Amino acid sequence: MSSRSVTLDQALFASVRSAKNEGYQLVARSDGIDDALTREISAWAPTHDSLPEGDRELECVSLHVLDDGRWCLALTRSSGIEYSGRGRNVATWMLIADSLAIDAFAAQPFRLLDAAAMLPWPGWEVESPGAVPQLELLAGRSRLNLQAVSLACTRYGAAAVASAVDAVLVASGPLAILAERNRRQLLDALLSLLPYDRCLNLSFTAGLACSPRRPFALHVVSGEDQLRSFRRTFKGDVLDLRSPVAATLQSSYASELHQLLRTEMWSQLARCARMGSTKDE
Amino acid sequence: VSAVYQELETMRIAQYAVGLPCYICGEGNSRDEELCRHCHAPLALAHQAAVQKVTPQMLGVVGPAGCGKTVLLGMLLDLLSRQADDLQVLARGAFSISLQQSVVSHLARCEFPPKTPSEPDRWNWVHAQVKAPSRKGLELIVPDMSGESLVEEINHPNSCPVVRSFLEKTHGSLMLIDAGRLDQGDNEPDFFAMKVLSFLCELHGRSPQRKLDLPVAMVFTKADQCESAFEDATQFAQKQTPGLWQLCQQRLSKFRFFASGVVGACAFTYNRTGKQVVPLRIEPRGIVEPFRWLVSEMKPGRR
Repeated sequence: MSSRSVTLDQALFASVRSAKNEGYQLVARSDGIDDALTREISAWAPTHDSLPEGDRELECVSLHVLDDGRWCLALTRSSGIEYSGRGRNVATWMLIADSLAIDAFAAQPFRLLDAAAMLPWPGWEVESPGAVPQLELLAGRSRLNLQAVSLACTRYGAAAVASAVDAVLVASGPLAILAERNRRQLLDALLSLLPYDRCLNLSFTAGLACSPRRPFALHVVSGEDQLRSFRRTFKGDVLDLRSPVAATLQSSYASELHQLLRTEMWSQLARCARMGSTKDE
Repeated sequence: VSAVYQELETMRIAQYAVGLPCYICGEGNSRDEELCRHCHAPLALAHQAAVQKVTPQMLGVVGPAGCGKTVLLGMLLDLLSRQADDLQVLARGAFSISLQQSVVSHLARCEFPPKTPSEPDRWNWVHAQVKAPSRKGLELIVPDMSGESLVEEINHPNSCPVVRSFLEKTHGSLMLIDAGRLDQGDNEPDFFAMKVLSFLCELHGRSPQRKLDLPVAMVFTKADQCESAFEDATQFAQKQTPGLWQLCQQRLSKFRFFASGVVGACAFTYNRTGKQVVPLRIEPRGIVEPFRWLVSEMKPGRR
């Protein structure tokens, strides 16, 4: 396994009262984030009503694919009280990954997050706008989180996991996967198993409220309220993992993957996801 | 021989051949959609407008986050829908009552309503019929816009298209300015109001040389915190918002300053989430006057 160093821009989006503005804005950003990117991020970024009720204590992970193909990988959570005293401040830490960084982490956002989590972060409660340094991360090529895959198979079954991969591959519009617990772990497992090429432009969220301003391709939701909200906003397909799922798979990749998961041939999974096929090339 | 004519099932899809234009941005949508796929405004407005004889006009309520837009609008609707006065408001459709309901129930529990969501699909929209002696058959569409979305659109044009589309078509505006903050020596409300006014002039295509004939009621909200605003709102404006005052003189042909307050007294509570302001008594003052003036000044059928 080779590893290399990549540089990423980072920013914090939260609600503050600054000299220029009041409310949600980029309160801290590194040098590579210019005004055009600030505008693109701000149009999408989560604000005070973006964390669904009951999920406020959780940290949501999302990936927004920027117009130029870069990734904006975001962690969102409640962070203290808003400057106005009206409710909680929803803060979002964003990492901007270019094609080099995406490739270095084998198009697996969770491996990038793992690497970023090793570094000290200036803090969620930035009081006033300012600059933050760029992040230098050491990347490894391994994209598979075998533990997440194994746990997902144990919890939902190999057929359900393969069905989820299949649903992502064949979806022509927004897709919701309904899972009650460990949404982040399930998403990590799915992104470990999806082919590299599909991960390059797969926007997703696990936890942010559905909004037309955030048209993610994949929503991992929990509970009837979030499901209703998804259906009302996007009218997309839904895969419900709360009940047993039969493996009626449309893509050959998912069918082959199902065989590997069912027979617990873990050693072949990494190559499978890297190649986009279970066959030797 | 009797004949029975029955519409073919396939005719049902014929209606989809013609899209439904959004009443706010004008873009086409499928008739089954709930929200406009371009600006995310509710398509119920377009459905309702299509069956009305009168073309609804747009009224903008603008101001920064926390200046009291939701409370003022909700209270205004509550006052005008209950009283048997010369000025009355009747909601068109069930969704138009949600804002009034939310504001009144929160105030009854000694709470201010929560911050308006940034997402336009979650705003409260009001479509109402106005009965006024000065205007016959007036229909109004008024959204409770989020202040942050307005700021976002001003700072980053086209980031929130519904704000731009709506304000471009307004026939009158209520501009809210936090008198409490001004009284404490904070000049941010003055700057913000100047920004919004310039933005409105820009949207309505007025050059600095030509005055905008859109009626704008400047309302000093939370005036219960500074009685001088109630005593003489114009003098208060000249003293506390000199920038806005000058801009109004130069850019607007129809404007007037008002003062309003919804609560008689506030208190602070401290709980797990921190310090919060709570309303103690509801004593609405100066709520109807700006609206009455706007209705009399709005030109009919400008759309």
